[in-house]
Amino acid sequence: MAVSPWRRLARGAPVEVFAAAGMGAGLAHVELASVPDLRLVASPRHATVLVAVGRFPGPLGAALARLHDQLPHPRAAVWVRPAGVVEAPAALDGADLAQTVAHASASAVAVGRALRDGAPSRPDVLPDAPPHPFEGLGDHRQGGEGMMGGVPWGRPMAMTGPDRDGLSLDRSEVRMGPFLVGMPEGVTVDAVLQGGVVQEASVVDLDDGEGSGGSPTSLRRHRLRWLTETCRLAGLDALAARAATVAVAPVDADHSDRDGAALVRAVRRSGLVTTWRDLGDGGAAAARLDEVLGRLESSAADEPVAPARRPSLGELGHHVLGLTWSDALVVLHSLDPSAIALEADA
Amino acid sequence: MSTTVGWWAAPLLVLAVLGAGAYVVAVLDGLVAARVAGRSAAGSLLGPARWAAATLASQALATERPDVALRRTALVGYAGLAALGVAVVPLWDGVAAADGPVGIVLWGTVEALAIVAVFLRGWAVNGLLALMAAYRFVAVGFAYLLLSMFVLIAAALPAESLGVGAVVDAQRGLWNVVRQPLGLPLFLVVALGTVLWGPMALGLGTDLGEGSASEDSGVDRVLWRVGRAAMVVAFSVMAAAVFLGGWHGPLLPGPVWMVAKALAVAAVLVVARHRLARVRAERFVTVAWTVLLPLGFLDLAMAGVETLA
Repeated sequence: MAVSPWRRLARGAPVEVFAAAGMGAGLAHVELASVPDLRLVASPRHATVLVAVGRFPGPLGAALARLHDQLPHPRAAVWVRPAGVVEAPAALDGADLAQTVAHASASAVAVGRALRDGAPSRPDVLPDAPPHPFEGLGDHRQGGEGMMGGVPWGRPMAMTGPDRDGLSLDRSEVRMGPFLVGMPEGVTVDAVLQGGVVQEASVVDLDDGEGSGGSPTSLRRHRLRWLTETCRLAGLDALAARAATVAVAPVDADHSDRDGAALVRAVRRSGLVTTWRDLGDGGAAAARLDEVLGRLESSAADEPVAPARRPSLGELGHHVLGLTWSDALVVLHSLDPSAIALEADA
Repeated sequence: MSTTVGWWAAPLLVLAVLGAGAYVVAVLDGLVAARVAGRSAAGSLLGPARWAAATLASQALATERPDVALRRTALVGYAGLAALGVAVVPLWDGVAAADGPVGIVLWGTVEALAIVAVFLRGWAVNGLLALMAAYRFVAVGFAYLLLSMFVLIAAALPAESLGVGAVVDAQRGLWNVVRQPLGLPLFLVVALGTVLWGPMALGLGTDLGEGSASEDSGVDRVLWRVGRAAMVVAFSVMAAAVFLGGWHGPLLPGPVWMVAKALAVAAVLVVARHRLARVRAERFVTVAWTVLLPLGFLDLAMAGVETLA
């Protein structure tokens, strides 16, 4: 079959991937950034292929279904299915299966290119209907309460309320996560924002409490994964790709340590540690980043360890009160439950 | 305002500069990204075209009830503002689409309306993350906008004219980057803010799922990327003209100097994009009002004293 020059041109572009971390992913999904033929994106609307890693129990599976349907057509999905998990969540029914993230990356490149050659797109998982019915409801049939209020179009109206400074500002009730860049796996935050500041927050842990944290991983590799996600969160996509490349490189190769040292220098020069120092969390996130960079600088190869059970993050809402949403996300990311799970057994 | 290349050639000139320039910026961006990532840069030349071809084949999605007209107006308007910005800059001696006595003022309009366009993009899509990013961008935009006014007026003082061509002519003996060393660095902060790049990507940002672009797909995404690359071109030629002496330089022909200077500015912006972490909006606003703005005022005061002396 003749391929048009336009399609041939498109075929050579990296495949854009949205990576969704499920339970037990242990940040392994960020290693997709090490593959030159893939490009990790931060919005599902920018992706051609959804790569899901880990388990997606109950509400996490429902969130994955909503995420899946946000990918524009043509789209495909790849699932890194953990050993022992048989039943696929609805969003991953019929998806290409992979045993590891490395296998998934090869699969994502292949299915992404096949889509450009005309392979069929995955259909929607959910019905094309508003998730929160509103039409015809309320005093004025707009889904509101009185003239205002309610959840028209499924989005709660921002009603005014007192803020911490004694002002009266719009209160936006929002649910953030669970698949935002930087958000720990299986976590969503129900927050009330006023002027971009988190006034109330409830961290909802979607973990079903089954199973361990995931595959055995060396601490060094996990720190590099965390650094990859940190760079993505800070808008340093190219450095994230470099960090992921160092993460997947063999630790006993001579050049790997040099690459690691150069990476740490580049991250320090980016000003990220300084930027995080005045987040309003007492410098804890910056200290964590500084510690990870320091350990990577002095790292020797370490043996993989099996992670302990991932700690729950359900009690952490108070950590983010009074912060802007962006700062709150950095604080949640810096807590990194998968690292805690690893270090518990190290 | 006068069209120094003829009314029919002016739009062609602007389109040619923006089109070629935007592609060069995209290639440069790919080269620097590959270098920072430690990867081979092979394929960078065709990279932007490949990405555009792949993205255009993707479905253009929309949220429920977006303001489609406003969204498209903001998208096209942003690129149009880049075109207006390029139009007021003489590319070499006597060659400009619309050089005139108030080019600097028009440029100030471009920057101000670009803030409006970015905000409207975030507003019009009817998406939570896009709206949050739009508000964050506006908070920062107001902080850096005044900065631009100060440094551009300072650059115009030695020429005693608000025409960009006159500002270039006044640098025949000494470039403004030497005469007013604070001007160019402060202008580059404004450039990064307006094109939403790197440390100033506050209207976008991975922390908000790409913010005002979070709901884009297909053609909208391509238009936005082209518009931002075009805005980089506009800032690069403006910086080259106003701070780096425009087409003036020894040995080489004027157009070569202009292209080389604009490329150098674009390269600095691209490197900053990939090397510097995104600043916190709150912190930037504080630094802008307490440090950068006083520096901008100092730049203006020094230029005024020098002009009167």
